[in-house]
Amino acid sequence: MTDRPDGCPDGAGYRCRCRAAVERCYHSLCRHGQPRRHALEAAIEVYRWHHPEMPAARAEEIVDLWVSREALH
Amino acid sequence: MTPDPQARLETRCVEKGLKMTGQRRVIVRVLADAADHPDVGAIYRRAAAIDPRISLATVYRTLRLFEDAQVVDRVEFGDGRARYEVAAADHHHHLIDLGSGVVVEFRDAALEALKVRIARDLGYRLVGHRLELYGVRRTAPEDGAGGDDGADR
Repeated sequence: MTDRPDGCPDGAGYRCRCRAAVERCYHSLCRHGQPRRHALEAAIEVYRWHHPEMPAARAEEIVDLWVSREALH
Repeated sequence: MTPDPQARLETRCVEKGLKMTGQRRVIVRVLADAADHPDVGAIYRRAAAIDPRISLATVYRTLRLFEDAQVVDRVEFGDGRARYEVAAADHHHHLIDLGSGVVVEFRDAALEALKVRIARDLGYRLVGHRLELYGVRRTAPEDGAGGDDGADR
């Protein structure tokens, strides 16, 4: 696990729009009635476009954390 | 005159080759009347209120049948429960903007026909599929760039 709390290697998402894009994609697909797994996989694709250097497994962890944390709020 | 939602749904079932028994008609009525996305338990309770002879097993079986015939869609909203809705007659897909995460709905009759043809050519009857498109917004020609990728990461 990275020490950086938000998982964006560009730093807190201020310069990078990845987190907003990931969350928008995930929640839009859920609102459209897509299964959570499908929405998560699509959100991971969005994340990996922003951060292609990130290993796939780590990208999945980060995106899962973002959207799960969002769901708790 | 436009038929009511229950009649429309029954027609779609018949078009899919489903025999409409009395209990299936009750379940069709429950689905057609639903303004929410009921789960199996809710559908059973509503159906049993109309016909107390309906069993939970019948509801499960019928929903599976309807789902296989693409008359209803099973959807999940992240709460771990499968819910049901009448399948949209105007089936659509999603294009996902990788830069912004925006999800764009689209419909394409040629694509629908292509999916059926591919399955048929491979010796199958198409009963389901999953397709998402991912893209980056093209730069508008008037912007002068003329390139394909106008989205910044």
